[in-house]
Amino acid sequence: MDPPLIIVRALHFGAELSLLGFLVFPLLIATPVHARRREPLPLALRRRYCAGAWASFAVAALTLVPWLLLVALSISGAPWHDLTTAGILPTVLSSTQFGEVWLLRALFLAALVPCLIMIGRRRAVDFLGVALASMLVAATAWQGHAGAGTGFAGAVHLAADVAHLIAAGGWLGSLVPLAVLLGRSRHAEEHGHGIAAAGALAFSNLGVACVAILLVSGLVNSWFLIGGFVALFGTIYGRLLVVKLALVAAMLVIATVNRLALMPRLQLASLRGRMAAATLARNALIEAAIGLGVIAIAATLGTLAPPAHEPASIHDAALISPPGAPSHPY
Amino acid sequence: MMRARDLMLAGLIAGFSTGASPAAIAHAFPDRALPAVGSTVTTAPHQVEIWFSEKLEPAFSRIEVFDSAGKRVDGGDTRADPQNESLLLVSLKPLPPGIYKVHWRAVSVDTHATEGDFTFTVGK
Repeated sequence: MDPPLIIVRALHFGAELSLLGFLVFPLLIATPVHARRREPLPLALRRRYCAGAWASFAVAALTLVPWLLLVALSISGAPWHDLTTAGILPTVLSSTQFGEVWLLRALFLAALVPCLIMIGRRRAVDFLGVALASMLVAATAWQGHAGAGTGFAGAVHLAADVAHLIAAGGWLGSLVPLAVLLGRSRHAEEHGHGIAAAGALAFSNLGVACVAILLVSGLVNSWFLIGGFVALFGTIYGRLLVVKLALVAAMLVIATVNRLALMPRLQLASLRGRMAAATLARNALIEAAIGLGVIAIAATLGTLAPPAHEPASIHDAALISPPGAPSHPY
Repeated sequence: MMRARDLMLAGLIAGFSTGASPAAIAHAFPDRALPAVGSTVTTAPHQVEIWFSEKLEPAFSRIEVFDSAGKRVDGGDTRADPQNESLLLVSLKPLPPGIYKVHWRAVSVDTHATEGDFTFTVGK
């Protein structure tokens, strides 16, 4: 395990999920919900979404180069001071899949700068921003296990991984923006309750679609990575996955309570309606906090060898001896 | 009140960023080798081939072969098979009979490195 590398990857990928959410939510939910009431997106909301997007972008951009340096170190096995002198970085960037995807990421992030500067002014640019952020999130599939597979099975695994990542971004990334919308709606003079209700409904529908994709793609991924029920409960990897699923289930319980108990009350233009909006916002933030746990577990899983690929027999195990230990005395 | 909420949102963004998630990744393990692990071959092989469980990065993977005196007997030209990115091979100098030790270091396309060794014998 490599703690600095894990932390940098975790920061980078979490920032990308957050960036996607702060771009998708205003475009697909917050703005249309206001437009149907013939209102533009309030400046206060726009400022918050813009700030959230920029903050997420900053974390992603700042962690990009450290990530490259740490991976180059680990890939080459070379010491720190050799990194710039021995031509390792150019080789990583030009001759490895990780390096090529990294360059694409840098390109996407650079292209996102004008999109973020012009946020909210032109729809076409906003859609481009969402597309770039989605590609950033999806790129992770090529820098993980799914990107190392071969043949048709490898392609299926990759497709499932991309779907899983985008759906995770759409759902988890939108939780905080939803809380922001609900929070602001309480201060709105007119139609605040209508906006809260419409926004929550639109998010709920998006959530259902994302969760469906997450479950199906998660099943496909698990099939490739775990390989069977025995490994699910018999290995650390499998047990961590079970905990991850339990956390997702907790989020779904909250989401169900939101949909069935709280959302109907949002339509009320009264204190009760406003309290429901406040509770819903709080629940969304709680879901987001649990989502952090889900992502943290996924980050840990990323450093472990999936059971389906561990050597199964003594013969296979004989091929692998601990580094440094002699396999046969001479 | 607004202050506290802003701080909470900022904290959540920061927390979100620390929580994150690379896709689950694995390591490249060898499936089989030629010459096979621990085997004895009658004719000296021209190369050592190892088939791995995942696609490799040939630029950072290597196979080294040593004789029983610890001298390198491979050609130093570790490469992947152009038709199969999970097959790593290295050429060998002409080998007299004896026990040889293969040490391999494989970097998978997912950037994880594994290494190990095994022996084979060139016999009469």
